[in-house]
Amino acid sequence: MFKKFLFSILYNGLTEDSGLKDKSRSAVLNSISLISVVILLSYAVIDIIAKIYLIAFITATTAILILFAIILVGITKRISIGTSTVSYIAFIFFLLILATSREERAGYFWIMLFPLVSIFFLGITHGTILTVLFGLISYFLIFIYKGPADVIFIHGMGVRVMGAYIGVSLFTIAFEIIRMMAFDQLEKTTNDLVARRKQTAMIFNNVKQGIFLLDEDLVLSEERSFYFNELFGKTRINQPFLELLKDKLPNRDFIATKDYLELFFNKTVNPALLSSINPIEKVLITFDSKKAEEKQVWLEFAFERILSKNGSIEILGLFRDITERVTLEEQLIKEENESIKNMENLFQIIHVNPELMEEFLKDTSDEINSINELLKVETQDTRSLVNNIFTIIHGIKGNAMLLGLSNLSERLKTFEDYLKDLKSSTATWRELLKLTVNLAEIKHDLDQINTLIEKIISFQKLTGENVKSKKYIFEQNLKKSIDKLCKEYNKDVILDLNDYNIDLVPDKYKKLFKDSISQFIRNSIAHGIEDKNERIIKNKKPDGTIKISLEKKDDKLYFSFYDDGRGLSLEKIKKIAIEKKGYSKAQVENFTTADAAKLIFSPGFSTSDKVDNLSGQGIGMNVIKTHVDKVGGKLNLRSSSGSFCEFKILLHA
Amino acid sequence: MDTKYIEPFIEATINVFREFYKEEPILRSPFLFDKEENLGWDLSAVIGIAGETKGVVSISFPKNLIIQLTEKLVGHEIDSLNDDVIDSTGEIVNIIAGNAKKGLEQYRLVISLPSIVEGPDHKIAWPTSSMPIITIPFDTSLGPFHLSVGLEDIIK
Amino acid sequence: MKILVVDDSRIMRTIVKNSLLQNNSALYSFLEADNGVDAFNILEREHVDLLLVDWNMPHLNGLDLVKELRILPKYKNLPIIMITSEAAKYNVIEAVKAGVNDYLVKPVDDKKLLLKIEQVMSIN
Repeated sequence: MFKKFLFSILYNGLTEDSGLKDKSRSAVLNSISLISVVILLSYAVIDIIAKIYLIAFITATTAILILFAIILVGITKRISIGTSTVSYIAFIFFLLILATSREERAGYFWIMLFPLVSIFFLGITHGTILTVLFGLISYFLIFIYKGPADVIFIHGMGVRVMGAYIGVSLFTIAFEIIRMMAFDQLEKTTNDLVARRKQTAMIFNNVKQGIFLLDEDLVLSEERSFYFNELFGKTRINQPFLELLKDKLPNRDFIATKDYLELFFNKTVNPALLSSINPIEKVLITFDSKKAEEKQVWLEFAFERILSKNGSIEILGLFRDITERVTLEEQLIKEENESIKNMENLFQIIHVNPELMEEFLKDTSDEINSINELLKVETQDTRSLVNNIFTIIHGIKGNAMLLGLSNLSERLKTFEDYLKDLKSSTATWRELLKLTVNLAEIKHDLDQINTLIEKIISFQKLTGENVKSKKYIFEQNLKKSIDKLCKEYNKDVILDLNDYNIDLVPDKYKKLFKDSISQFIRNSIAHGIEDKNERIIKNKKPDGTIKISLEKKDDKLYFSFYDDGRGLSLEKIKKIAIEKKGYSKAQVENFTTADAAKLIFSPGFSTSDKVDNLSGQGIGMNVIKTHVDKVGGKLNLRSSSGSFCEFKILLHA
Repeated sequence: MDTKYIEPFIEATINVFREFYKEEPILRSPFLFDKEENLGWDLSAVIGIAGETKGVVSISFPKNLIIQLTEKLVGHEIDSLNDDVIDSTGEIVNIIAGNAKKGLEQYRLVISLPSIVEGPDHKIAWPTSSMPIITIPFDTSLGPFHLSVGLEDIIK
Repeated sequence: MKILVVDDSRIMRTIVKNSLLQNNSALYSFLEADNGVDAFNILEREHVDLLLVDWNMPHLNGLDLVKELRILPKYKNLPIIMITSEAAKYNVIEAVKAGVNDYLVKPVDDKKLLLKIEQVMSIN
């Protein structure tokens, strides 16, 4: 307490960052000032008692001035105020004493103090100027003024006093120069030291590196870096290292680490091998904090076997936080994947007819928009909403797969699965949100493909590149026309093209196949396949099936068009035969399927009740028959009333 | 499917071909292998994987190729699928499976001893589970061979 | 230096031998075994300076052989390097735990093998 008080007086006016020079100056200034204040005040009291009022007044004033200066230094924290004030007061005071002192000219002694005070306090330049000035005035006072008239002036004494004054002054200047140099040197060294200490502290405190030592029992020693404690918290004395790690990393890594660290104490194991099998070279450490969020840090551990002086083995452990680096790497991998995806898309696109691709993209983007429209409509019935979306996504997925866009169809598949789960119950907003996010991602994929298409479309060559997509075009066109017809006749039809290999169709038969299929389809939907209600009553599957197949055996092509509708209606055909073809009732009495077929393939025959713009536009069965005959093929019809109808064409390949 | 589980096998294959046969095999496009399919190879080396997942790795060669490769390895002429061929092919598939474990370190796996299936149109008894098998065709300067990898629950 | 090479593949044994002989044929002499049991019997019969052992082998595998050997005091300081296709870190740890002094993953690199032999022989 007292010590503290003393120090605060001694270092009055110093700031935190004051250097050594200021410190010494301040210490001297404060101590001298205080001592002088005490002495001066005592003198003042003595003088008052002695009734020498003038001297007493001067002395007291000086003391008060010094005290005031010291207080000012304390307030302003500027030592220079104190040093200058004290110097100048000493200047005036000493000269006054020199001029007034009587007893054996005691002032002679006082002036010797001035060079010390002024040079020490004010520095070499300022102090020396003041010292010289003080000397000149002293000379005047000693030799010319000679002091109070009643005091005997001894010339030789004056000369000696001046000589001593010059000597003291020179010595003080020399001493001060040496002192300053020494201080400079000292300060420089100290500053270096301080800087280095700061640096070390910074390394230990700020750099995210953990350093620790393990003894043979894998117990942590007390020396470890600040970051170790920061990360693992306070540890007890003789803390086993593994205990700290437990529950912070997967158990398997924990066990591997335990096994691994134990290997270090076997001196015969090659250290290079050890460093290559570190199981926690890069590990995700999870810190369970009391707060809701747990903290995860990627650490990079390194261990080294070190031999201590007594021959025992210790493990030096080092770890670094590499979370930032790992995050960056993950980001990079993600970007890389994105670009791989791009490449894959690009690769597939250039193998696909660009027009087809554009069409797909346009259709898909329309459908995505239509989903979005569905989402926009407020509804309580999320099940049917999800169901509708499912149907659309399913369709897009099929097309994407046909085009070989595996990334996109993969994503659509995941989406579809998600929707499947959603269909079973009413969706929450969270689930619907996820649905929309999914949609956004799909859109993103589509946009990427679109950008790629635009890039490659300029150098896309059409020649021979669209083989893969033939079936797709064919199927798409067919589906479109079937959809149109179904809507018109209010029927539901599933198209089965699994056994139809379009690549088997030679160029010469292209037109024949195209015409036949569209004619058969019209025929099936208009006449063959029943509407849903009728099919249900007849115990058939609600949706009708059309199956088209093409097979090549030896040099023959076998084409079949099959539907599971009501088959040929002999009654209807007989009726039309009489009405339109002028057959007699007796003639049609024993009509067989073969006869009926013949009739169907004859010109101007239609069983349709109404001449509508769809089936009626057909080129007619007879044109097909004629075409098949012309190329030397055979056209057959098989039918079972109420269950199916099949057209077969046999051609030379 | 994450390709990173197949890559270790491919890398190991390229590495072992480089070291053993001084060959730089070139990858062709991988495909899904149908267990019933017969690709007409003469010799296959198969290794089973067990542990935290099950799987199979096989490497299949036409007779000419594996004989020529083995000749490179042993330094003398070979006229049939002899012990040297069988020994070295088994070792190759063993190295491929063993090395690939490094890339699949999040699974603790054990590999079996290799077995060799030979004869024209031989068939490998693949596990009956629905595990998909990915075949990676390679080309060498002496002809093509196939590496097939199936890992349950990992490759989907 | 007498080296016992244990591997079920004859070709592999030859590769290992050749890679050492290429370097200095006068320095090494070899004994061979194709499984752990035979290897053990050879060790009982003859003095061996270094054991190079595969992991996956029929009868007694390399890992179990090393474990058996390290139980016996006379084989405590026998230098052992495992040469195997098993490349996973946990395998290496397992092997070192069992008592091998060093570990090399197949396919064998000549220079690495020589270096490892040198290191293992100098430590022991």
